[in-house]
Amino acid sequence: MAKPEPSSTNGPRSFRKHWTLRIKSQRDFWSGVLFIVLGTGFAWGALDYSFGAAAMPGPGYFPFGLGLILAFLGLTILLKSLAAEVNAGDPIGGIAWRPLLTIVSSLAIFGVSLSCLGLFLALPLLAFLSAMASEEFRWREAVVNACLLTLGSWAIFVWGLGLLIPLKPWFLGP
Amino acid sequence: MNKFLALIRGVLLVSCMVPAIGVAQTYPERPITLIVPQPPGGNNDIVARTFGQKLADRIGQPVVIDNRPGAGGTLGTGIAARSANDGYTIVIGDVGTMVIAKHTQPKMPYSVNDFSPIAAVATVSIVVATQADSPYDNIQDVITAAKAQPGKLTSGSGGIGSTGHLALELIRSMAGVDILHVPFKGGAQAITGLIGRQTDLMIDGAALALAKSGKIKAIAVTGPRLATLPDVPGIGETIKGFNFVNWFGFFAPAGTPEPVIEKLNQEFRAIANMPEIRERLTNLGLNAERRGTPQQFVEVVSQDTEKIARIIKDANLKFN
Amino acid sequence: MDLLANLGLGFGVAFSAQNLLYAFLGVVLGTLIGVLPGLGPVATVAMLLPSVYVLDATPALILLAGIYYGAQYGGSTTAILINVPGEASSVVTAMDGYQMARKGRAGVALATAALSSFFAGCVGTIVVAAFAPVLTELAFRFGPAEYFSLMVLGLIGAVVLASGSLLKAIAMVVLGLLLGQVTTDVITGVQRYSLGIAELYDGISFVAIAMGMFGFGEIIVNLGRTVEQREVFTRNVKGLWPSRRDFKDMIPAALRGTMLGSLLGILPGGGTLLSSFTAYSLEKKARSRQDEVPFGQGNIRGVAGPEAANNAAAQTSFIPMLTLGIPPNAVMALMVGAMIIMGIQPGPQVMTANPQLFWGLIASMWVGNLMLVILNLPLIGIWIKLLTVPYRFLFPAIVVFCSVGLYTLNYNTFDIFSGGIFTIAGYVFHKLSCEPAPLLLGFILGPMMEENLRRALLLSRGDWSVFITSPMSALLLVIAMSMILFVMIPSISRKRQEAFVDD
Repeated sequence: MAKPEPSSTNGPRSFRKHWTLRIKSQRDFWSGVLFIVLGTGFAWGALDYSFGAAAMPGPGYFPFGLGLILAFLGLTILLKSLAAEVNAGDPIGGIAWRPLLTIVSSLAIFGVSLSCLGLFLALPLLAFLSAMASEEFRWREAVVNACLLTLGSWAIFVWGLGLLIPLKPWFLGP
Repeated sequence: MNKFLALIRGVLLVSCMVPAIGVAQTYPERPITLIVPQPPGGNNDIVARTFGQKLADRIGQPVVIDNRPGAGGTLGTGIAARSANDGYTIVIGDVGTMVIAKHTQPKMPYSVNDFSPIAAVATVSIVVATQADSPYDNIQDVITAAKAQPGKLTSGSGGIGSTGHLALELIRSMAGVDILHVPFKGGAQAITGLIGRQTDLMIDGAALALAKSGKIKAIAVTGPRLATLPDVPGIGETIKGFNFVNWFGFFAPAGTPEPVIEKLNQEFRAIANMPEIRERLTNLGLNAERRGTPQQFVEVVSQDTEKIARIIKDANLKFN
Repeated sequence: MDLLANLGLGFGVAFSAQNLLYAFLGVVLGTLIGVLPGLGPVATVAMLLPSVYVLDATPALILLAGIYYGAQYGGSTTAILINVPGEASSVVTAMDGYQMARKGRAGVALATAALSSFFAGCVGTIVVAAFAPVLTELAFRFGPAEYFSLMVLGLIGAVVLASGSLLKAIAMVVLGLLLGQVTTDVITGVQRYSLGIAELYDGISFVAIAMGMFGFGEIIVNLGRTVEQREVFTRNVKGLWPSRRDFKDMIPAALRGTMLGSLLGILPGGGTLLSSFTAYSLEKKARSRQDEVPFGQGNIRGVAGPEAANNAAAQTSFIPMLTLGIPPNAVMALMVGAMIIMGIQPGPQVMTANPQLFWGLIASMWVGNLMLVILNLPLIGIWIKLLTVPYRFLFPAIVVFCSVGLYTLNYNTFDIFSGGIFTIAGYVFHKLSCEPAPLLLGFILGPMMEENLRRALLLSRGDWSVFITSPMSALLLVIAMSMILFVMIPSISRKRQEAFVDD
């Protein structure tokens, strides 16, 4: 991944770099926050389990320690992101909302529909919905592609490898 | 209002019974699904496949083996519990999923009462093994050594709450000895631990194959002697009244029509009586179980339920 | 010489028409299973069981062995082509292999993987034939303390893997270790972090994490790019065959990888995976040309080393199964099961009681590896064609095959949902420039590490000194410490230089 070149807007920053708490790397800052949240979350969850003793550690010992270490690492990363100078604030950049939401929700829909609708309906649905993630989405192409993929998957997984996957919707009987 | 409810119940009962009577004559009309709540390749799976294949030949309908592993077998058994009780879904169960699981799993998706036992088809005594060059030749040696140095001997098992683990707990309480339990992740790892001299003993069915090859030494079995290891005595021959066996049996969801249960029971018993099936079970280290009406199987399950609860209470075991 | 006579006997068995056929069937099926992302051992084993039990022991084992190493092999194909590591050990291959593919060098990457694997497979087979009994004894020297120290070493190796920020890489390893804690505690039976979901008692599925973070995540990143940016790498496929220079880079890497893999493969559990990660770390530290492509951006040694290592390990991981009948994974458990059903007692006496089976299987491994390379080199052309399919058709296909694969992991839709969740997590990490590979290694090693630590303490009755009183464990920890120093010294000196520049 190529880091963007430092831009000329960095100029005035050097004057006050030791004096203000400004986020100097967006990515590091938010990674730090994420690790702190996850680390404390795991450590907090570990309180439910017995700790044992140093000689005989219980099930809570390892995750509690690791959670604290993660939170500490997160804090270090966060503090560094406020101090060290990195490429023009190292911005997170735009988020590809369309592909992200489309792919994830089509997976969720597939997960729900496979057991009740069966492969012959759920799979074309997955193929069609996930195709919408692309800006080049075209209705007719996506439908044809979905049908071909369903046929292919049936041929490989069900007919060829004999895997037990629900095929028909629930109302058509077992 | 109560009368109305009673009426509905009556109608439901009748409507359930009508197909039940019909079912007995025509059953089975379509494929039967046999759920195996373990991953393929293990003993439960091999027993299920062996019986499933023979059952299919005899009733003229396919028997589909459906592996649903996860959560120590409770996931697949739970699916079976929630299936239609029409005789077209049955499940293979053992002491682990039907008796022990309710103590080890925090959230059980079923109870043993959700099932109608069909037939036990095989029983197995669990092997107690030690290193080939170990000074212990029988269970008495182990007990003597454990009494001389309490807490010094160690015994591996395939996991916490496994049948091997509970058998060890029973030995501890009945012989009054202190042996440290060392849980491994599966029987194969426990063997590695034994051969690597990390543990002094192991109690797990996985020890059988290597014990036969002589790489490790089987010193006892937890129940009746095994057909494959006729020279290895049962612990009960030393400690009076000691008996711990695992069994494999088939179960249908509760409320499955009586005639269907009867029919399946007769088929499974007939299959367990076939010489080739008995040979295959012997190769696996199992004893074929040829007697057993559904009622007797219900009896076995409830006795074991009490026994396991007692072992767990006596040893003060806590799993979660 | 005995070995030659034995191998002669083995090749006699392996070259019978029937056994050749089963070896071929095995590698074809294995390649298919490896190439279909997510199709795991549960589905494979269930599918094969009925046919395995009707065969004789020797052809059954030859078939299963072929499937096992065929799948290892096929797994790297998807890792290189579409960034979906089918097996844990292909995660490493994906890192540089996929980058090579993006630069139009998919053919070279695939050929490198094929040739390194073949070479390693041949060496691995010889190691199995010549040293099986000796290596078995070595494996038993590894108690819990030694395992724990080996895991520590492996994790430190994982940090070296990172090409970006060292601190973030360590954090990702720790996060991976924590995700590995979501499982039933082996020592006490407590279900940790299960949130009341029964599917989490056995832990999060590795494939769901790998598929979400690598496969699906990559699709989202790709679709987030403009069409022109994306088409560059698919339209511009350069040569299929490695150049002279490529060979020069790849041969030493493959040699080093083979050595590492052959050794680590004998450790039951995790040996294959550790070997590919360690081989990558080794390559990264080994000196090479000045003008080399940096690691993480398509370095050919980053494909050759780990591929050789994991294939050599795949061969030597047969040792505990062959000499003792202890299966390290699901496919080998089925092999042991097949032997028992046929009335053959697995264990040390197989070598003497059933020499045909023992040596025939070993010889068939070599034959199978040869078949794989012959089968796969021509296939490379077809795989490359696949990349020229317009992306709007290709990515739904990847989504479909991966999703079906996720379902068949345990025949449970839960794994599809976890795949979705880790897709989001993967995208977040991508945006924050946190690399997912160290997380995956931590995830796999974490549970083993904790289990062994606690079992070691259980057996030592709480005495922590076991980790240094065992010579092997102490040695491993010393290597681990020196690796930390090795990583830190350059950064210390770099900081010094920077300080000077600032002045």
